[in-house]
Amino acid sequence: MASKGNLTLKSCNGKEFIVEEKVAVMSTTIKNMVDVDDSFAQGVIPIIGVDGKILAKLIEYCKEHAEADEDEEVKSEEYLKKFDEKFVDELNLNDLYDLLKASNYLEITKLLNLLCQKVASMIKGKKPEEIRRIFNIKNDFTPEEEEEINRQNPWAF
Amino acid sequence: MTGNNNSVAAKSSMPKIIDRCNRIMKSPTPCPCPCPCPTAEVMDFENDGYLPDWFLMEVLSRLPINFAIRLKCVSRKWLSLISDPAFVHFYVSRASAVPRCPLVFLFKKLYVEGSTLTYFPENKLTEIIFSPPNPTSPAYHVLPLPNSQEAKGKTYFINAVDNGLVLYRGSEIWWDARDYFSEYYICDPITKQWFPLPEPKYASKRVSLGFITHVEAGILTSYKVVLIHCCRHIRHFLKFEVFSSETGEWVEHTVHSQCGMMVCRFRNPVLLSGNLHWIDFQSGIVAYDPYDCPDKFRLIGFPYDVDKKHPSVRCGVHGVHQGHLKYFEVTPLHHRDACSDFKIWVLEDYNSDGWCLQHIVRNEDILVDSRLHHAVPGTIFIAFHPYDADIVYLEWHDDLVTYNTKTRRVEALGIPFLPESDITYFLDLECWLCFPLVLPPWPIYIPPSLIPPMHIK
Repeated sequence: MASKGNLTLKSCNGKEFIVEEKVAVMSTTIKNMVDVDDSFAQGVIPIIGVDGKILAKLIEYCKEHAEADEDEEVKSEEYLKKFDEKFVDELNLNDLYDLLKASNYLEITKLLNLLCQKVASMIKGKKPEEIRRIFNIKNDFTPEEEEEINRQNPWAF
Repeated sequence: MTGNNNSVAAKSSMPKIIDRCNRIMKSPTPCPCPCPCPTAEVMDFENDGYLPDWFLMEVLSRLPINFAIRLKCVSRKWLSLISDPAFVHFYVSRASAVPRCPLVFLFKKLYVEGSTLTYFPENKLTEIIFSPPNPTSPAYHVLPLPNSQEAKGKTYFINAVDNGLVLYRGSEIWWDARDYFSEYYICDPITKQWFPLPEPKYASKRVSLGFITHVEAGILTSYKVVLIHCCRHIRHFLKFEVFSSETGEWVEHTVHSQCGMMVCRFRNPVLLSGNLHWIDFQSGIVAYDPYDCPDKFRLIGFPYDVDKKHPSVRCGVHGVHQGHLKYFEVTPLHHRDACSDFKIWVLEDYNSDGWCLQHIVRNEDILVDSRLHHAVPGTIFIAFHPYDADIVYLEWHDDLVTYNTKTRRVEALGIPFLPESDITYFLDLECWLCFPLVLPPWPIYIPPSLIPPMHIK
């Protein structure tokens, strides 16, 4: 049982994390649950579809940002920016997608923005065939169709 | 308390996320499993390449417009998503929030030996100043000209911008008012789409052009080009020629005046409240509404305390700033080695003539960036900043600078004068260096019905 002011989050593979409430409520989804029903604050909150590794990453992110929100002097904007950069740089592609999925599901808007920005900068300037490879997308156009689409927007090239 | 009862999925938060996607896309993504659960939106790209719409929207809307458009050919799904008006709306609202739409500076007058007009995005200035511009640089944008062969040897003037569209004019015999002819073009600098306008009835060098566009939901719905005839003598009437997209024709309007008029053609008109505003040396500011009152104009008197001894074009200039008409005066020099005083008046109530002096600074109180020439005779006002309430753009000796009314500081922006070796830039009285253009986040669609049919010469 978590002590007062703390919440216990449980990953889908059974790992439990005790986190401060201010850290957990960075997730709008969890915040809504706690606001609606006090009993969540006492028990264990299972985070379905998110494994221990990803949940640990989420908590790491939320912890830094929750602390910065509380005291700007200890963690400056610049510090957070550096932290964010390092945080996304260390992710491999699989983790990036898992984190995206989890932060969308848990509605951690700041993190979702950061991750989407990361994916955008990853694919910026890449050719369609590279994009298809990254996302494992099947090309359902014929070469003629593809050419026709590109011809419609010559200014973009 | 069991985990199941307490689970996130059992609560109402999951449908909220689906709601969010639906809000974004309008058409809901069907959930493959009967109960709402986080695995409903699998991003398991290793198996089937399925990517949820919310993810694609979030990522693609963060790409520069041309990169996003290029990805239409990734797959049918991507094509339909990027083409969807809901996505365009999403993209525009994201881009319009922060950061602000990119601001570029257009060089106003260029003599073309090559085939391009050029402008620079503000945020790339340092790149240009330290290395010679090269055509492949992303900092480099090119305005299309009708025909590179035809364009050779001509001078092009950018006359007006509105809603990100540019009105420009090409002319051949620019030094001689006789035998003068002009070609008028409207162009979208993002898509590089352009089209010519028919020739107005009275081709003359002594004109000033205004441009009003109506854009709804990213689509151009109507535009007017107003040509005002400027005369070197005082006259008791003004002659306008108005081109309307509705009729595809130029129509002449002669409006009589009680007082003598002499409109300044060296300054582009500014647009506020559906009215174009020109400076008249004699009487004040001419406000003209070509849509609702093409046979009338209103005269807005100058502020009563302007410098009346020097009615030179360089002294007083009008502009629109923060939704108000403003008048910027660079008072003439006290002695050769000093820069000028600045004064800014604001017309707080558009329907009155009541100007308020908003800002005044003596030349000795202006703080000048050490990289700049300290004293500048005849500083020229370029424009007010499109967003920032404190910033004014000026031409300062050979530099484009910002002047901050709060700090009284002048700082260089560092736009080089010569963008490309085969383009000659003229500096003479007619040429006011450049002016800012705010690029729309998504290109304006120009319906074919608004492009006037041209008779082949």
